[in-house]
Amino acid sequence: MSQSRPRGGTPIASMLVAILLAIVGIVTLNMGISELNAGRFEAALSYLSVTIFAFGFVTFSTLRRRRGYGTPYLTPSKVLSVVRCAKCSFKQIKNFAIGEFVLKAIGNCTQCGNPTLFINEIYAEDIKKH
Amino acid sequence: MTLFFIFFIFFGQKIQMRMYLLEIDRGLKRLDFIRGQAKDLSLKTIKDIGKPSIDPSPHLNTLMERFVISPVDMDPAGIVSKFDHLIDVSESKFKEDVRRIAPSAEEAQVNNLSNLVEASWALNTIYRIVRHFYLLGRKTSSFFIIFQLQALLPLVMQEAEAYLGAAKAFAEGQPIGDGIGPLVASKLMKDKEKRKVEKDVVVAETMMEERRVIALKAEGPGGNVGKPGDAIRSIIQENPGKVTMVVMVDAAVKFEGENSGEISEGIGAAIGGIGTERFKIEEEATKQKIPVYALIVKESIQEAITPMKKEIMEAAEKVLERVKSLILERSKPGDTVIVAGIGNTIGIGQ
Repeated sequence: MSQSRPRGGTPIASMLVAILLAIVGIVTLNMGISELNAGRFEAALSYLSVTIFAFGFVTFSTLRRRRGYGTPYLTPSKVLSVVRCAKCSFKQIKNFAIGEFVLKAIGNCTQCGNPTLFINEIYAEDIKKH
Repeated sequence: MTLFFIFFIFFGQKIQMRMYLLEIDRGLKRLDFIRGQAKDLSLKTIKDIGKPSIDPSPHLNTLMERFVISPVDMDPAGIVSKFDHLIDVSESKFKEDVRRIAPSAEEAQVNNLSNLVEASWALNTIYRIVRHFYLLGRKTSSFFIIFQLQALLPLVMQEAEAYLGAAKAFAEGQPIGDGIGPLVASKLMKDKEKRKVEKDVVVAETMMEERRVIALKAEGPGGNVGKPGDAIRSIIQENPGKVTMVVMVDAAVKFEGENSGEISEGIGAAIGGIGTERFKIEEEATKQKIPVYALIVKESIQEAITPMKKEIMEAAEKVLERVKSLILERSKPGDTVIVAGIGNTIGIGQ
């Protein structure tokens, strides 16, 4: 298997672009306000539109990075086994253990004593629910 | 000011492309991490269960680069049997290779390990394909290659995360969402006499409202899908003129917005894969004029390959009720009905 790493930009580079645009936004905001105070509305509008664009871009790129691929898509879950007795009403929910499977006979029932204990269900439940 | 606008007119797309590349790069690093985790898990499980006398890493690397060459489809006549043969050879060789690097593993464990290595293989393949298009996009500075890759990346990442979840389930032998079909069949087969038919498929007979029901599923509890197409065909041929209907139960991918565990009823052979098994069922059913009914349990692609969720597990009883009412409505007392539980039977016995 090839182990060569792809060449690509780093999050630092995108951070630098964002910082640069933030500076551009601040400068043009100042210039826009000065032009507004001087009564030159057309020039002020141009500067302020650049400000909106620059800040919009910075906000957009920051938000995109926050919900990036570092966050897992799968919610952490816990796998549980449901043990039942085929003869009586005994039911027990416990953590799944390696080697268990659905319909596996697991010995004598603690309630009725018959060798009819088996795993009825194995399922995953989101940890948040507990 | 004007210069600023001109700059963005000419270089806007370049800047956007650069941002996309950065995003793909982050995704690629995450993919590399995920495939590394799956590979480490495969190695650890092989060492724990298989107790190999030599280092299994080189063999595992070879398995993760394996491929199957599709048959020529210029003349499509007979292509199904060619595909079937290729899959048989590929699966048996793959299983033999896994058995060789895990000599102490039992049959069910070999099946689980095969599934685990397959999940690692899938992750490795996803990584290689994404990296290929990423590097190609950079090399050619093609906005459209980069744009397509960036647009598809969230779906690719979801699938990769799901494969990692699948690898964990396979390593521990837990039932997965795709196992809902075998789970329903196992409930019909419980405490009944079982026999093996065809490759890795078990069959048991039961009575339901004076109808003879033949339930079948892949042989568990190891990770296995069996060859239900061959099994249904041989059961129909064993009972000439007696089988009046086939009911197939399988997991199916839901649309966004639908609830997991919902059941839908339809007509036709409910079975995935490349189509060889479906072909066999359709061919035999058409020849004998047997109706094929499908019951599907809806779930996402992630849920299908990760440990079975409670709502999917709970759907099994509802499916059984639907199977019963379908049989009562569509058959007469004395008829023979086949109920096939389709899917991966990992973590589900019979």
